[in-house]
Amino acid sequence: MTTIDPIRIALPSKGHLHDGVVKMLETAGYKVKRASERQYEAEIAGQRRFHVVFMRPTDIVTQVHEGRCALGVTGYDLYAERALEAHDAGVVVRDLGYAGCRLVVAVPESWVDVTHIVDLADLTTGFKEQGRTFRVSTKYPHLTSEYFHRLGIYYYQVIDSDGALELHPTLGIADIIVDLTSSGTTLKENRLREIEGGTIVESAACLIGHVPSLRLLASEGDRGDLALLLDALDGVRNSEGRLLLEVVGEPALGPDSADRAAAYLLARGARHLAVGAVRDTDGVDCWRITALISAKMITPSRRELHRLGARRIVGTPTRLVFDRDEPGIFDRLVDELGIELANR
Amino acid sequence: MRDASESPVSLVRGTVEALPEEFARLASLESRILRSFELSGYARLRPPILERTELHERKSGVRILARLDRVAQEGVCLRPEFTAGIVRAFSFADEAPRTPWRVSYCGPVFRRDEARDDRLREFHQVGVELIGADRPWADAEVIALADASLADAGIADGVIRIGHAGLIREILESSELPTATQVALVEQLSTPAEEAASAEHARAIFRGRIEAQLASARRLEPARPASDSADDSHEGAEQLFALLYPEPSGRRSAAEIMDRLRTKRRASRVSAASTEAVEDALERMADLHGSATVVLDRLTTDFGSRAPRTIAALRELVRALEDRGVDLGRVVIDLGFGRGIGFYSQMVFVLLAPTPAGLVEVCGGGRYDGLARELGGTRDDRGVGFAFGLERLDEALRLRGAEAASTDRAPLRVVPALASDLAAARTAAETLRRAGIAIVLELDPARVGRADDRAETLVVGAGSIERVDPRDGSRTPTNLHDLISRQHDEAIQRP
Repeated sequence: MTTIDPIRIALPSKGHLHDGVVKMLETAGYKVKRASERQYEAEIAGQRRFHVVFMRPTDIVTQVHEGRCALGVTGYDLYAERALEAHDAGVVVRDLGYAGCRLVVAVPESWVDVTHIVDLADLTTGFKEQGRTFRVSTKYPHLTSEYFHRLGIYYYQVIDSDGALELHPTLGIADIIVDLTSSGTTLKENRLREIEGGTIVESAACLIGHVPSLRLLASEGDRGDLALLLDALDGVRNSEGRLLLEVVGEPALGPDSADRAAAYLLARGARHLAVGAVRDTDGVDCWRITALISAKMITPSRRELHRLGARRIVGTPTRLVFDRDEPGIFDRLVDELGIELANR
Repeated sequence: MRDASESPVSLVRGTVEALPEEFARLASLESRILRSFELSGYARLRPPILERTELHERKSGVRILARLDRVAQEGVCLRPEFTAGIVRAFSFADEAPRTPWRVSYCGPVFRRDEARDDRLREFHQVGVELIGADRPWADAEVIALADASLADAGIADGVIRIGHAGLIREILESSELPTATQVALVEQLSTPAEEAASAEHARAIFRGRIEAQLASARRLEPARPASDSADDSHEGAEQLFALLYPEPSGRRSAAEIMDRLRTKRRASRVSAASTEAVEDALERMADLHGSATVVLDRLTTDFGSRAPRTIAALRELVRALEDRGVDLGRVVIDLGFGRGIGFYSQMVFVLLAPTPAGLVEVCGGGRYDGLARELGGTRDDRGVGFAFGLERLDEALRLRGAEAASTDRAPLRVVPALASDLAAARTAAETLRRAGIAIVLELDPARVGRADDRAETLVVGAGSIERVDPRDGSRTPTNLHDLISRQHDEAIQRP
């Protein structure tokens, strides 16, 4: 059987998409060693089999589809737009948890008669009946036409454009646009408005892979290099925004004060609670709770915990969290690829 | 890791290579059908493969429009079908063709369907258009021709399924919905109908559509001025609009926007009773299929008042088919079937070939009156036509276990008896070819005087010819005259 060596990973060369994944990989223990922004290749510290190449996010889909790179990180929107042609590229992680945005339909704000996507079905039909062409500017012609078709919007022309689309309605280049937005501010500033039912895709950074390569790499088993990388990403994702909480208290308020503190934390979203007994340096018997909890929950919980007997509350950043009962990315991938692993 | 330079160049997805054997089968099928068209007075023409996207955008049904194979060059596509191009040719030819204009065509068409792997992106159609002729006799003529051509292709028991695009239009017309909504709905309902989805599906689409429309209209309410008088409220709304958007961006004028706003508000007041009646009708319509007489009777009972035009048209068509001698036992009227109702204006039909794997749709067509006008033509705008999908038909024949059209035997080989007989061999080959006999002339010195165990070989010497039987290698003296007459006799005996 052929093996894949090196395992090439395509990463976006700059911007949000780049920063997020490089940080994530570093946390996972895969530090990308890149000398400068102008260098388009990099190594991963201590991981000789991995080889990183930097390219434009749109090219990443193509390179992964063609198998030159086994893995790639790009925007889900960019992948989805090319998914039908890039059929050998598959999604490994749909949402890496950063670079979130939405692909939306935006109409001129003065179109008070258009509030819902179904209005466009009527409106475009009306245009056609009058012998006019309804024009839609977008960088996402496939996703747009697929979505429009599903909703019964048939008569329009796509203006496939790479520039700033927000100006197109004002300039009369197009009637409406389909574009990415995260807060909607740019749309508003350009006198455009989103409409109900007009979100075509919710996007974020995503991890894609060349399916035949994934198959080969996954069959190396759960101690193979792919499994280790994906497990590490699992660990990072599970730890995201969570602190390891340690609460030490004395049972001054009754023997069940530890249980009450635990119940309180559980209600605030803490997970993996463990309650135990400890003894402090003065020989006093204390209880101790450890748990994983969202970072923003600790401060608001502090005073109530003190009232429940907590002496000291410590929140420590986590870097990697693994949970036996949560299937990991690798396990899901193996299932999806239908691979039988001997040691599972 | 794979290197790009080493990987084989694969076929474009959705295309197939027809190698000689398969090609022979398809070509013989195609020529039998074309011959049938020709014998009915249809003259062959050939529109271009590259077309203006606009030609198809103006009128093509959803099913085609969504799958246009666009060429990188702005506004150009590979033709997805022939009809629009032929109607344009009729409408804008320097000299107006005499009507009725009967034409036939064959060739590749292109449709992209990225969601489905099993569909061909490039396939072949063989069909006719009859332009400038009125229903019902012209409709009956093309349906009968399609049926007869299918019989010529070897399927004499095809099912003729006839529908009518007018019914759904007449039903929606009675719904008080704005015209644009009606037209959009016709398109939207045609997709599930084509995909043989259930009546409930059509009902769900209709209901979803009406609900979204009402929800969208309801969101307008807060902007409505308080006044009760309709005129006041129009004026008030216009003033408010002008105040809010002194310079509306985009290509629609304030008047257009306010106009549509009013239409939309009117539509939001469409009564529940009215939409329910339409839903009901759609469901009953989807259920209307069966033999001509049964369906016509039910249609009259259920829709007599709602769709008188459609019912009359179908009755006339059935009578005209009878006049043409079409076996009504094989005719099914199916009004739930909405094939291309966005494209066709009236009668629609398909031919289905019975196979062990079920009915296979091999041909489809219908009447498209008005298309010429939409393409900007001012000549006669009536038209009706159909097209066979050649690959589909071939598939149906194969499923039925039809014997493959006998592919011609390997061509005769001609070799010189000796190296000095090159000229004699060449002359013999030329003579035989002129007589219409396929010849492979082998002048490779290594093959001089040698027979072949796959094809009959003529060993040509100075003044003598020997025929070598490929089965046993036996040699028989012969001459060009005998060979030519033998070959012609065989050609006549072949079907």
